[in-house]
Amino acid sequence: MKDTIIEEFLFKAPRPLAPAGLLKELQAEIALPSAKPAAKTREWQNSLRRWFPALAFGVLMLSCAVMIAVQAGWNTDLKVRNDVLRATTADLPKLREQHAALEQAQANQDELAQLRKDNDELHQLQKEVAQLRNLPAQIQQLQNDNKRLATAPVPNANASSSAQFFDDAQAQAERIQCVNNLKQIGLAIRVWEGDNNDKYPTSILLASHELSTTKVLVCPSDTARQPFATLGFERFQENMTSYKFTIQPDDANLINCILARCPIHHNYLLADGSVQQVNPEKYHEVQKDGRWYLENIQTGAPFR
Amino acid sequence: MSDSADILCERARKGDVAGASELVALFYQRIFAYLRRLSGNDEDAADLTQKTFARTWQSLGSYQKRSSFSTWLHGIAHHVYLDWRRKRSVGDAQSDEWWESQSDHSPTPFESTSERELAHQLYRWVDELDDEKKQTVHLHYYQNLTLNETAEALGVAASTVKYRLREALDFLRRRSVEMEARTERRVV
Repeated sequence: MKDTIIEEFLFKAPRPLAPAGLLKELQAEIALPSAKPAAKTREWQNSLRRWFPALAFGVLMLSCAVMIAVQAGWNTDLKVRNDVLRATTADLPKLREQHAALEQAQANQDELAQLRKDNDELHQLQKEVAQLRNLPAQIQQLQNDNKRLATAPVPNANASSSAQFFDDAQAQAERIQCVNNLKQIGLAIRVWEGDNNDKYPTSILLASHELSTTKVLVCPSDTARQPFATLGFERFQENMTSYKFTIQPDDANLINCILARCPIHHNYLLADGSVQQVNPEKYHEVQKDGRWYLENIQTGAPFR
Repeated sequence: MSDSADILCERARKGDVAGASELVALFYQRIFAYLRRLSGNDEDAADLTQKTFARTWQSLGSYQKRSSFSTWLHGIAHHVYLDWRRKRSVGDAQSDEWWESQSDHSPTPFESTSERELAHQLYRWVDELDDEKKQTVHLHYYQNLTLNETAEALGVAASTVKYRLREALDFLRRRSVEMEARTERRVV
């Protein structure tokens, strides 16, 4: 069988008929989508799609034009700058000469300032030289005055009065030093009492470790005993002290009882630790119950 | 027909139900015939025809008019059939009785009984072709689509359609030669 015959038979293939109610069913089931917005969108998209190559080319060309314009602007600017630089370079030798002249003027000005400074220093030195030249004459004048004063007679009354003043001051200082010695002795006794059941020592040497030096046991006015002031407690003996001790162990309970006295200055160390400077013309020592007290000579009243 | 179909299609795109109804009236017989030959029974063919038109209305907005409406519609019907076949996964060859019963509906009835018998034999051989060739034959010969329209409906190149048709004709020719040889032997 030839192909043409086969094809002829195939083209004549019977067409089955659709069922009777199918057309109505199909027409009843028609459900068309809302077309307008989609169509509008599609129309807009289609036109965009259609014009996109032209738009893209236009944008590209516009970008190129902008770039060319910008580069042309840069080129013009660079040319102007180049011209300015060339003009500046043309004046360069002249400017160099001016610069050299300016530097020379600056150097001259610096030199002038230095010279002025040196001149001022020179004037100052000249003044100092003039003053120094006057000094020998002033020294000579002072030496002459000194000689005249040295050879002048000195009045005797003034000298005696000056010596008396120094002697009085010396005596006053020694008396005060004596008071201080007795105060230190009283303090040592009180400390010793605290360590020994409230009992005073029978001898001041028992409380020697409470004293700093043997110097406090010698009155400064007692010239005969001054050598003992430099001895240590190892060699110091009871009869080497300037002060007369009347201290007894139970004196801690008696306030006005005399513990020690200075026979030179009439300074008294009492049992309460105080040191009293007493006028011997007003008070004297009296013994009561084996202990010594100060008493007014005229009235017989105890010392207060 | 193509011009009127395009006008009706444009009306349907604008939401005109009357235009869509006319489109259905214009094409439903061809689509039903195509699906009927492929599916093997009236019920499935009617169901597939309904699905085809339903999908047509859904996709009407995306119709680009790159091909004729008829071609586009056949393409939809082809995909509807493929989906249906994929679910069923069984072929439906037509019975001899069915081809016999369809002779009356042929657009150009056969002149003689021998011609009619030969034609029925050819149609049965077409059903033996593989799916791609069979659908190509259906669209090109049975549905009277051109080569390009067939290619667009199937979504393949025109050269592919030509190749498939040549292969199909070779197959049919071989089968006819074999049948003639058997007949001669029987006569002798």
